[in-house]
Amino acid sequence: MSNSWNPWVLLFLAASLIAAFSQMLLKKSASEPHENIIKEYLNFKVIAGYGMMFASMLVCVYAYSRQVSMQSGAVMDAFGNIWIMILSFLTFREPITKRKILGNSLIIAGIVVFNLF
Amino acid sequence: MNGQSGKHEISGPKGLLSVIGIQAAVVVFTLSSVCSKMAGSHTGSIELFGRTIRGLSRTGYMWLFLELLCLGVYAILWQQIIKKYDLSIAYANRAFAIFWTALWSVVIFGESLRPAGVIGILLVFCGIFTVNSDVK
Repeated sequence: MSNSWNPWVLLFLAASLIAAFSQMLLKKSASEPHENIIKEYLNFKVIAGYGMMFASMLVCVYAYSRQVSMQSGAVMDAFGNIWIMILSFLTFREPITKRKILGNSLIIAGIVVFNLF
Repeated sequence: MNGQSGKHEISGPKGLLSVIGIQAAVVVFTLSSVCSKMAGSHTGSIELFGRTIRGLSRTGYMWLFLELLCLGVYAILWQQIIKKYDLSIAYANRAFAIFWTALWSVVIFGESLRPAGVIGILLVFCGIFTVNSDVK
């Protein structure tokens, strides 16, 4: 694994934000009643959500083609936890508790240690 | 079927099964990253209807297809998971993908994992444990 900084790794931050918005759509659909299991998956929100995730995936493939290492890409992608915590509060009123903040901080700390040291 | 967001336990003995269930989906998800990395390392071009399409080679597109397959299975599992748990809780558990991905990168791609990487993974594990302990 190369230790030199590869700026293309920042593409993973953009990809994780797109993926976080897609999760909002998926959760929205999962929280709603559906007539059957088929409609649970084949509805506008789920299809749009996975469409966004596909776009996010293409961004990742492009970043990997620019010689971003798999480990670096994966840890940058984990920043999605922060986007999710904020967007889940704004969208679903899931509380941002002290433990969630501490837990996600530890997760980010782990990511930084993993990636930079 | 009604959505039952956030009603299931993720801490305590019952929670262990929940965590294992979520991790099964996370493993499938991280295998999609393996395919993504494989696709990215197979750049080239293919001939389609007499035209040359640059981007990935035939093998690259095969890996892209396998990535989509993994994501499809993951999608089915994930939709059931977020129906049961708060998204911010379920997604925090997904962060353990760092462990699985590191495992694949060492085992499949022969990349090295430094001691700091192990410490990082342990920190992530503590973070997930802390978030999970928030659910009563």
